[in-house]
Amino acid sequence: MRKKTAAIALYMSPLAVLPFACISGAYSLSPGDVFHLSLYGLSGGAWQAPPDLPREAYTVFYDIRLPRIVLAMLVGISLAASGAALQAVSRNPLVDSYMLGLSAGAAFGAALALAALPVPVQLSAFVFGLTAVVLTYTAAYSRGSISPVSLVLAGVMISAVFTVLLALVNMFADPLKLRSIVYWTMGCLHLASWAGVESAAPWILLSVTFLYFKRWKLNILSFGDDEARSMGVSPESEKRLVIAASALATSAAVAVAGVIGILGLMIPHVVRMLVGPDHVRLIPLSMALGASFLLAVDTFARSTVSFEIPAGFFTTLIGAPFFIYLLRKTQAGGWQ
Amino acid sequence: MGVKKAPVFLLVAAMIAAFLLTGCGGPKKEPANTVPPKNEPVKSEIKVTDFRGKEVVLKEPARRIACLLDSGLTGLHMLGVRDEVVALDKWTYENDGLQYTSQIDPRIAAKELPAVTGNMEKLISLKPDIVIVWAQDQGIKQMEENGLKVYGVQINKFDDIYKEMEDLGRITGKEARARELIDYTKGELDKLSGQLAKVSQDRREKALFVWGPSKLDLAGKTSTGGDILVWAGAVNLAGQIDKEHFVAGMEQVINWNPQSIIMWNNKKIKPEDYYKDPQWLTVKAVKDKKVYMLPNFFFCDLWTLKFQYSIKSTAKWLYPEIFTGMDLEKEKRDMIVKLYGKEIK
Amino acid sequence: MAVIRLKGVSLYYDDGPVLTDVDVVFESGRITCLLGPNGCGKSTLLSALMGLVRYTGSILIRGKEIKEYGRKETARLLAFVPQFHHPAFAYSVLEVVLAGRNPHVGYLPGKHDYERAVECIDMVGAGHLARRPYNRISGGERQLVLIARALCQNTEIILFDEPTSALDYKNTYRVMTLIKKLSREHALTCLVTVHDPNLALLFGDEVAAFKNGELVKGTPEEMITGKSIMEIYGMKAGVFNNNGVKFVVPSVASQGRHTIGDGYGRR
Repeated sequence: MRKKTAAIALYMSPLAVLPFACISGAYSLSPGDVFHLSLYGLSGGAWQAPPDLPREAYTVFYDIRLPRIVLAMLVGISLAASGAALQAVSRNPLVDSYMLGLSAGAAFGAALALAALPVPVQLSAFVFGLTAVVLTYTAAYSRGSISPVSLVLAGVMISAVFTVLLALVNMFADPLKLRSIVYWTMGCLHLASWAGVESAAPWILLSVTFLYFKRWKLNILSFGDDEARSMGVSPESEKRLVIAASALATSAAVAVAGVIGILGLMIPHVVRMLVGPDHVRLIPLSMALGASFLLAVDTFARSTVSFEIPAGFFTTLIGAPFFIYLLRKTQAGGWQ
Repeated sequence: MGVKKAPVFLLVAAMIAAFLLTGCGGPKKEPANTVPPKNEPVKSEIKVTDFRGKEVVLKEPARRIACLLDSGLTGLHMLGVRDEVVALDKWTYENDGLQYTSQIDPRIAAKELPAVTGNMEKLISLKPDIVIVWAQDQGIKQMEENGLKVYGVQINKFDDIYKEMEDLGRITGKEARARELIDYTKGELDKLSGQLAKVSQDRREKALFVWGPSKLDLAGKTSTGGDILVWAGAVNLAGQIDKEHFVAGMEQVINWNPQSIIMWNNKKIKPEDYYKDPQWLTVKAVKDKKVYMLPNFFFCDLWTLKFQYSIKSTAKWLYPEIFTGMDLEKEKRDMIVKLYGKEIK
Repeated sequence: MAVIRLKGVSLYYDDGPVLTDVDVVFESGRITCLLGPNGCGKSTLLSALMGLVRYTGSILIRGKEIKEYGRKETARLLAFVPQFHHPAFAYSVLEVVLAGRNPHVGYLPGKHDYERAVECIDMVGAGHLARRPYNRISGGERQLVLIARALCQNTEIILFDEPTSALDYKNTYRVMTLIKKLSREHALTCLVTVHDPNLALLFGDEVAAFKNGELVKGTPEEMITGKSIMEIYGMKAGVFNNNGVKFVVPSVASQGRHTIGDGYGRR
């Protein structure tokens, strides 16, 4: 019963955060303004907003705040869902979507584009993020299967290589570009635009939908390869698909929003502590909490200081203590 | 938690690197006593105090100079001591101004001058009389332990450039040329501010200075970019933020509603990117098409005397009605001839 | 009726053959205890029956080559009870058992699958544990839960990989009794690898033993003799009969002059 209440609360959480996200920001929009602006949009422009609402209020609401809200939710969904899925297939609590070398690869790609290459940062981050995953997977693949331990170790190694490469780029980059690289590596939701949403949304939605439909299989896969086989699941192909979908979702998210830390690791744990480990519930609830958490954090970030602080800064600062508190309270959250 | 360490480490590394490379925020000492007694004989030893507050003593003008600072190299070129340079910073070969520096020194065009950044052995083997280097450079201690004389540079404001030029003049025995260059620059800027005095306080343009590479990377209160705006008679809207370089929120920019935007030259964004971005649609500078990008940094960088061209360009863009007669291309050509003694295209 | 039939089967791992030229038939509804020393290939044989080991020859299950079954089909024919189980997550007992429904689940388990899972938990006498986290129950209880999970697969064959090796004395007999009961009530064909020949004597309908790399099958009485133990394990043991209950006692060197048939046990 307690679990059911928690599940309902988690599903509702994005709806609870959304109104606050809509009215917060450097440009002041009152709840009334937001009400009129929303109806204006929902009615396709037919709603008569008060004439004293300035032109830029429409721009702020529809072109600045909304894409940022949508992007924060999409990125939260993507990181949380792929974190949960990867924890299941690797049977490892210390795993998130960045483990596969993805964040280091994407950070290197972004830095390279910012400092040297004449290609868009998002594209370069996306390509190098996926490249790192492919390298990790190839390095860990042996005798037709992937062992969780070698996957994590290969991920750590590939991350280390890309981290060194990133340091190399940083050494040669001029100071102006360097600052952007630092910003980028900690999350850059402030660059949100509809164009960014459009470029990331298809990948993210496709991949998380896939993970959503695989959620029962994740239960079976989490018993380990041999048991999964005996229960009628082919772990090799299923794991490959789950890893590919998680990597794709995360790469797309990282490409538009930078490396937002802790979230992919933390959200699935929190949900597991609240409603148990069954992936049938865990996957959709992680998506819901991922969306509301990142939205809440970003709303906080953009309404407290007059300049932008990368979202990854806050997800880590807010997430880590909360996570440790829950961990202690629930005896390691069900991990043995 | 091994898995999560990589991104954290990466951030720390990037932050440290950013701190070291930008060199801002570090301890900075005002030079104590730069001007030696007037009546000292010309032939005596040369004493200058660098930006670290450290006194550098030379027996005679330097004949072998290792210049590990691109802006310092520019200063040396202006002083006419091109051939005395025996070593460079790698950055000189990598930056966007290479096509122009190549026209000044054929050894740079042929890549013959060694770039010794980080290569202490090579640097020592070249036996330079003096090393000119960023004051925050990690290698300074080692250089000095190996008996090299080091002049450390730190430019936080435009006046620092004058001091640097004076010191470089003394180090190279070109005091008169240094004076000439400084006087020319001050003269040009005085003329400009004379004309800008016509602009009343309330008519001052409200502007933003963009460093890039994103449209929201702005220059704050303590930055040379912000100073460009102020010296060009504008108000830096981001001057309330006490940072050299920061990333602004888009909504904050809408609140500021700048009348013009000046962009530092960069490859990632162009004024057109502002014009076609729906988020910027209602911003006055975008509506009025008043977003301008400075030319290649070789002509206007903010760490050499060429900063005057950044100010001139900005002033002309912000107040076209005052500078009706000003032709920026001609101004640029004239300045280069004055500073380098020849045309560079 | 022969449910499983192996003809001229050799099993291979990457580094060479594990078993060669095995011919054996397992009958429907019977419990066969597999005996053999560590590393002889008992577990490999079970894996091979699930189609997970490269083999030559012919492994027929219900008359069809195992290779020709899909993964899900195989899982509807054979269920597997693993020896050890380290759950990565704190699933409840019900969730663990429900996983056994996978071969019958298309997208998500339905009401019927839940009912079947509860039924299976009751069948192993673990009804009171259903809501408990699997990682907080005892080793014996876990084995019961894994058996319930296998039952949930609704197969006619269940393979048990050393189901008692981690259990205490009482739980060993509790689990074996349960296996026997389930086999009788539901006509299950059970292949059970065991280490203790006494278990084979007590619970096996048949015994298959590895002797010098050869798999030999017979009744417990035929298979478990002093001579046979010597052939299987290379050690001396005596088989005693107490009012019709047969039991095996090994001859241990430290017990000095006492040897088999020498009034052993009477000090």
